[in-house]
Amino acid sequence: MQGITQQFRELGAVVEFLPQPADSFGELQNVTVDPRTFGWSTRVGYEKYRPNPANKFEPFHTLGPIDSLFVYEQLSSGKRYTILFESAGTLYLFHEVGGVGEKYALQTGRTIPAPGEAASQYTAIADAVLVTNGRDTPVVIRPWPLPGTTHMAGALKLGVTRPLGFSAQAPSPDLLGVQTISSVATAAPASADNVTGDSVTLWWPAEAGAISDPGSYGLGFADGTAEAKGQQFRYRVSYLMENGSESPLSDEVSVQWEILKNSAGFRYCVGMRLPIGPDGVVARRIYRTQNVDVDSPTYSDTDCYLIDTVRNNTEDLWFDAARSTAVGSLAPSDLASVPMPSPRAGTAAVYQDCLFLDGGPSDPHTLYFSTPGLPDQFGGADFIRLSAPGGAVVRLFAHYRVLIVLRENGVDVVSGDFISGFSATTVTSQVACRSPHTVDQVPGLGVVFLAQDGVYALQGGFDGGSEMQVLRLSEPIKRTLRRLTPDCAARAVGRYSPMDRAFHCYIPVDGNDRPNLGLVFHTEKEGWSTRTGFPVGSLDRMHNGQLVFGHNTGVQAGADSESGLFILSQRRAMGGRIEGDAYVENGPPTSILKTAWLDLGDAQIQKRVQYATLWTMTTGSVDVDAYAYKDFQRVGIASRSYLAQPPDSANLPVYDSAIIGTDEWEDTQLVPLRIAVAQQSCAWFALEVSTTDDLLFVGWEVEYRMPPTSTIAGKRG
Amino acid sequence: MSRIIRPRLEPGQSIDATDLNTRFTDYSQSGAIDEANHAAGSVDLPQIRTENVITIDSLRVKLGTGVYDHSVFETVPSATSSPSALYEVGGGSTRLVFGAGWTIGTGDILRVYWDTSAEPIVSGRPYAAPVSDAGLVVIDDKAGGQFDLNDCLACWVLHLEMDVTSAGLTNWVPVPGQGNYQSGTPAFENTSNMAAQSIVPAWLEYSAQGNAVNGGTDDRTLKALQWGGVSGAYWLNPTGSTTIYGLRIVAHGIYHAGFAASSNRLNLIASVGAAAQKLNLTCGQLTAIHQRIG
Amino acid sequence: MKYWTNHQARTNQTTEADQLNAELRSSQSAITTLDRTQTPAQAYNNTNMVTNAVRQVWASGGQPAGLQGPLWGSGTTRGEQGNARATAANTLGTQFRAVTYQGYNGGWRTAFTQLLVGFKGGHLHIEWAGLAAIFPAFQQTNNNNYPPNEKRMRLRISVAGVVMVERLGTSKSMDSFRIFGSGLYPQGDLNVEYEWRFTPAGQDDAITDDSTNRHLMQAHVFGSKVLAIARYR
Repeated sequence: MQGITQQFRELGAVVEFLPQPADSFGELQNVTVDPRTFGWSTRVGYEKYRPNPANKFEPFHTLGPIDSLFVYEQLSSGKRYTILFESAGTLYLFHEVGGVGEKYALQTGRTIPAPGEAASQYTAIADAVLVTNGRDTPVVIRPWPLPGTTHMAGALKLGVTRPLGFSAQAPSPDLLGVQTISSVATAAPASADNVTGDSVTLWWPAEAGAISDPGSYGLGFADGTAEAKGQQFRYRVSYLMENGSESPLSDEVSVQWEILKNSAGFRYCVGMRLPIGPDGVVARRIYRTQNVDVDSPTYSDTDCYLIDTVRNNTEDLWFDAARSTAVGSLAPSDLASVPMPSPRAGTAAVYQDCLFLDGGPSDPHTLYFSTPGLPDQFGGADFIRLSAPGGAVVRLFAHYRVLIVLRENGVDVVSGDFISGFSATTVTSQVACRSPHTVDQVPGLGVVFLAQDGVYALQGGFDGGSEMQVLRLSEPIKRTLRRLTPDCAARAVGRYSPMDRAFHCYIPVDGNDRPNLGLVFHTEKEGWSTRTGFPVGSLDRMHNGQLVFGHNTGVQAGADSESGLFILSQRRAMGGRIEGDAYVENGPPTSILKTAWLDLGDAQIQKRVQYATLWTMTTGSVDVDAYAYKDFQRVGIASRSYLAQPPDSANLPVYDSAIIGTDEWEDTQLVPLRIAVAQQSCAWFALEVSTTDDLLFVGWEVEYRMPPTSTIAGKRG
Repeated sequence: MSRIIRPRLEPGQSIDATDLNTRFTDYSQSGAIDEANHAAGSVDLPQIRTENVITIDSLRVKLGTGVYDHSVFETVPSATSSPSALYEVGGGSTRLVFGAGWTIGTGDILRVYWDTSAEPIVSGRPYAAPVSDAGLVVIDDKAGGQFDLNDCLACWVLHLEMDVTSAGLTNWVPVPGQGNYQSGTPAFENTSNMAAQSIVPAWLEYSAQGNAVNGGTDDRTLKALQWGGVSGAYWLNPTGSTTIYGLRIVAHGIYHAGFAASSNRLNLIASVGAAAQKLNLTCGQLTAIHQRIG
Repeated sequence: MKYWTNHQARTNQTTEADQLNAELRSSQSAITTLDRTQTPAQAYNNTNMVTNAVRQVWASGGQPAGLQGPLWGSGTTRGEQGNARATAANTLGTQFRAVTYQGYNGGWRTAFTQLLVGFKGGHLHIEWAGLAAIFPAFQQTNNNNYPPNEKRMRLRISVAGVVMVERLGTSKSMDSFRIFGSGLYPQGDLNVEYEWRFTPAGQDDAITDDSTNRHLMQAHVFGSKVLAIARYR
């Protein structure tokens, strides 16, 4: 007798709340979406970043957990990229140009994050990467140009790393005194009184005919015939970095001298020793007032003007010959540049060309921003104080037309620009993001991140009447998300992968302090699956869209343990291990697909399921083992094995038995695999397939009969 | 405790006493809590207070038997022969006594500070020619002749000594890096061996005010130095564990700068030593702090 | 941090794995992230704390191991400034080989540089104690009388290129000095420079010994030791 058929032509994703939608799944483990059929494929796995087995786990074989990871794309089209990663307090650069695979320590002694603490964050700025961790001084890594391989290890740090910004104002220049020429006309002119060392006499004739360019140089008065004339000049100095950022100006220092009565004909130049700047400084600027002596008509003009830029950071002896009429633009105000206001910044982002930093652990409700285009220069008034109830700043993320500020107890956005001013607005006060490394943009969803109560998407904007919405994506997987180790949420990592069009999020669960369960949001399905056995400690995306991750344990699990960088790829293996002295690949992961519990219309009525048909692509002579479950029991009834081959025509050729020259390349076909189900009546029915082979499921259907039998009444209390 | 790596209970798993006990004993391993169990900011001052994390010991004593207002003072005689006797400031009653001893390990630092008030006394110009090693410099007298001036690089030395032998405090030696000016003819110490001393100028004279012209002078002024503060400091991070039972300051002089055998040094000039040359000391403090390096 | 009840096992309730898991998970999370309300008072000391957790000290000296003591540098010039050191041909044997006006014309000189490796950011206190010698004779000469040309050994300590403390310095002919300063500095390997600057020559100063024509010693810094203490908590 023909049974009743219920078809599921399009497979959904995991839904954990009960009762479940019919096309959903109770469990989807280690699967991905096949782009051609939108079905579930079991082709997942991971392999070493350096695939050659002869390399084993080198050069990472001595590393423990890799706490943070960043792929810095320096040139377009993947022409040049650099991988930076951090492990046990050392920041490394992975150098692989020319087939070499070595790690170079850029900075040691960095703070190792505590179990519940987030690891370092990386922000690309101009041609460098800024690394912040909320404890150590933000450091700028400029990974190119690197010295030649023979000098790499020793000279790497020079010019590759430097702290962000200026830690203090520039020191004042050391002015030399000015010794004028005496007015006494004798063969050996007597010196003026009170001259000591540290003085110079740099004279320049004021009268024509004496020397070329007469009158062009020299400061102050040249004529003291009628009476002595005084001059006083004040100087300030600043440092310049290569990107144009200018340090806070030094304090003022002054020099003064007198043209004696009855002397004339010479002006004088001022000599000084300039301070040498720290790493990263490429030039010094000197500013000077006009003559502010009481004898001078400009005595009230105490502003400083630009005199010159010394285009190196080496020379220290310099003299000023600029006439007062030849000074340049007004010096920047004291507020234009201040010492780096956030020496323990934890997060950073570039928005409207300004570098935004949070204030660090001692100043968690403030955002500081740099001058546009000058990431090392911060103005004295360039900060925003956020409202206190939102909590400390966790992550800054530039998106659409705003800067999203994810805080411990809320989400704010910053909008505006440097000229008209930035302002902060609260979007929501209840979403608590504690996982800064899970934030990423997902096409169609906006900014996705893990919060205390689920995975959220921030959508929309504020312009043109649009609204910014906060949407919780993780409703279907609440039960799994409850397994999150609550105090270790900061260690969760997440990234969108264009290669499998999914948002991957790896979280620590079941009391573990590092990520040990993956949650994958598939954008085509708008639903979730899980990944188990992937030891992801840190995560980032390569240029080709694949995700690279750092191992979460490394040699903490013992010598020769799996450690280093790995790629989530289509390799049908779960990394590998060292056996004997050789690298041996591990087997593929176990993929589990368990359908939703179907009540097939009414849970009160007992049904007899007779067949379940799996719509699969013919992936080969691999075993399809199915289990039928009834009424939420844990143990299912196994069916015999089926092959993923056409049931009613010849098998397609498979590897290791296809004959070269005879067999042909094939295209997989969609075939129904009709599985007999031998179970008695049930109120609820589910089907599970578990495999380590390559399988691809597009849909399924269930054929059942419904004799008029209802479930009996409940037990007596 | 370190990390607890324990998979969760799965439905279908047998309710097993051993398994349950194992789960609970995960939490009861004594002495096993380590850095894998501490969140950021979990160890603060209340957790480390009184635990000698920074300072292990400290002690202070009044140095010298004089009185601050100079009404009572000690007098250190100048040496008339080489080497100079070492005069203990306080005469033995103002020394730091550590009882059973302070053991300064290689991870520790001992910091010692002292101060007092000193008045060097000199009568006339005992350093004048023909004495030639007490700072004689010859200056043009502006008339083609020569004038005798002193460079005033003469000084008294106060240095720090310790006893590493026993609490009986009978065996004093200078602290590491410091010499005791007892060897050589005349007695001397190289500047590389002056880690724990302070110096007091022995006398002062200079070209008379406004007199010197073009590098010549023909008149001098002598100035009594009066009372002035003296302070010194020393710190030691030893290369091997050292137990110190006591510290004291000794004073001696008069020495003058010199150079020999590749070293700058201070040489004893016994020829200026006499009853008229002496150093008066009132009192001050001698403080020692024993701390950890990190 | 602390946790409260996630599941209470009560008589007659189903032995649900998930419920006990919830309680165990919270407990395990708490034991992995103990906070300051849970860690016991006065229970942490050097046996269970990592080195330099609370403070860090860098002291000069100890070099070489056989010659202990805190003087900076090594060899026969330990503790001295080496920026200006006259030669044998130019020095009186009864003076230091040190600063002469023939070899020094003013300006700051760095006598010693100390790299504070591993400074974690926080409060830094630096001390420099030593001895100074100054030739005092020519401070009030004919042309430097009002005001005089005071001979002083100026001293300063610069951290990462910025002056931490500067002192007018000693002017006695033989004296001990101790200059110290402190400040808050960001994390990083800090370069500390110990600098001196002596008063330049006045125009009437005698700078040679008339009988031997040797250069007169004008100043010296010796017996120097430095100590940097960082406090992180």
